[in-house]
Amino acid sequence: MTTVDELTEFIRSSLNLKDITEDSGMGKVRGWDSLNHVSLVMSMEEEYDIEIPPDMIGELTSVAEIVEFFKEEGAIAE
Amino acid sequence: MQCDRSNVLEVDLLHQAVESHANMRPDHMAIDQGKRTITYGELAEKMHRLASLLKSHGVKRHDRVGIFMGNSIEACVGILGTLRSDACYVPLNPTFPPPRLAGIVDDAQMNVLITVKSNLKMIQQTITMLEGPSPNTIIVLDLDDSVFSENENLQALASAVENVVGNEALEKASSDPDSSSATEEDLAYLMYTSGTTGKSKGVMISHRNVKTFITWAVDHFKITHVDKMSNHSAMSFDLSVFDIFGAFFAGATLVPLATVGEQMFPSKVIRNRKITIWFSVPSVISMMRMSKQLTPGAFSDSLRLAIFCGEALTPEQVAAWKDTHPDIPIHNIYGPTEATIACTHHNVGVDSPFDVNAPVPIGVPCPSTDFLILERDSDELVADGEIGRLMICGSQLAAGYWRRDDLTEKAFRTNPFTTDFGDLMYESGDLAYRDTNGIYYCLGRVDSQVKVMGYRIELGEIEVVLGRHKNIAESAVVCIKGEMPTLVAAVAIEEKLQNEDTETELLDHCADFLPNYMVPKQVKFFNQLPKNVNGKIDRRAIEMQVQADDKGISGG
Repeated sequence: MTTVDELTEFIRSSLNLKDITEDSGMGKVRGWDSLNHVSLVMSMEEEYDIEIPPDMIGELTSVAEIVEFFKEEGAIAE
Repeated sequence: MQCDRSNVLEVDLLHQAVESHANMRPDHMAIDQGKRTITYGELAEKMHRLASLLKSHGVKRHDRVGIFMGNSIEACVGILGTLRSDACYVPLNPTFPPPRLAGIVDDAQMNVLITVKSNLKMIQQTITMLEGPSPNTIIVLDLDDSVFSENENLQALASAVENVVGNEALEKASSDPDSSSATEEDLAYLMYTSGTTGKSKGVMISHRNVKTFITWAVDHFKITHVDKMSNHSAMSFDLSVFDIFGAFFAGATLVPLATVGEQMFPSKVIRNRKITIWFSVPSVISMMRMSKQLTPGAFSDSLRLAIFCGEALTPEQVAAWKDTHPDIPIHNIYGPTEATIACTHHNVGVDSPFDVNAPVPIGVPCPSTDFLILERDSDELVADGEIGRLMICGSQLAAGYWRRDDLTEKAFRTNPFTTDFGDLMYESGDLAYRDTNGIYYCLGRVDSQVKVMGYRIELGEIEVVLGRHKNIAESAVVCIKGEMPTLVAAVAIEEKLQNEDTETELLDHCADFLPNYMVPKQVKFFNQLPKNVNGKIDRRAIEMQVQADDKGISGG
């Protein structure tokens, strides 16, 4: 279990971003491109012991969408 | 298990492979799309019904039918149904911008498009940009006719097109269409590739062309029904033809990477769906390496073979593969679209020593292909070891370019040396040499064509688009080599406009007309482009300036 804030900070530090908001996403902020998006997915899977199906990876491309996915998977404490 | 020649099907027409396997193993999985699968029996039935439907909408022998879809079960049904109706398919990649798609629909003179619901908006936009008549029928393979009136995109489309046909009509269509009247010389597909004049051109490939390559490949790579073959390349790229018909000729299972996520994460798809044969452009190795997907033994559970084609396989890529998967053999195959998928092969080998400082050969020609290497400025043969222009002869040569006799005559010329491999030789535009062992090496282009992710790109085509922008005085596009080649637009423009907003505006302008892989990643501004002594744009000087700037950024 994690929290929205923890997960957001995890995304920020994995991608080595300066700032992050709910709207930050792939292609929208410098440093979040398709290559390190894949690395981000791998590190989230490892950190949170969660499986992200390949067909979802291209859709979970913003903080908001990732948070939503984690909620649906029951990996975030409400 | 039997892996001998008897496993290679003998059929007249490509789609008959699916009919044969549907008779032999109807319940065997033909396509595995993750959440959805289809057996050979089901696939053959859908193919037959679609062929009947196409015929009932006026499709006849030699017609062109657009396949407006990404890689999927539906795209395969569309292709097979089209071939079964004696027509030829034309892939329309939904990620391409509408003006480019409209250009292809106009050029190929298509009356029917086959698609799925998610592309209806793109089709609508494409149709508004046509110069010629609109297609009269759109077949939407996943459309439930009862929701017709609820779909806004459909309603808009229905006003522009005579018939929009859904799934119900398909279910009702006969599963026993009239037998084919096509011959193996009929066209199987038109594949559009980048052209220097800013217009893409359609390469005409026959059933016989494809059969020649596929029957060789299925035998050579020992592909059988137990294999699971990747389908990574888009339908608009002819590598996909090997995926699809390599699998269907062998009775194997095709595994399309249908979503963006799957494309980004091939290692997951290989593992989860137990792919046994991987086939793609070699850039995928670099992409997997850079995104840390290429870990030791990651694919060892299922993968038995990796084949690469479409652009130069670099020694670094081979090394990255061998470091992580020393036991999985890697093959390099080579060939332009005009010579049908590929016409050489080279086994990099698992046991043989590999020299990371030596170029990877393209290997030897396939049995039905012959190569000639001619001097750069005359049609004289060069000696072994000497570099020259690579000419391709043999039965995989295309019938030419659709409605472009001028281009066909220029590229496909009479072979003055021997007619053992047909009367014609195709000028590949590549530079090559043959070593004393008869092994060929490709050294890149004679002209300004480049490759990004295996896609052929005429830099001139991007320059034509840039030239349409009102503020641009002069432009040149260069390709900066690296692990991932990068396109950079060099643009001469008023000094006050040399800023980030203009860069964004120019790149958006390119994206309006060009597929994503052709849109430059960066703009470099000049007051005037560098010129050489002849007054021509000095591309080398531009490349050097871009590289110097990049170093400045990363170093500072």
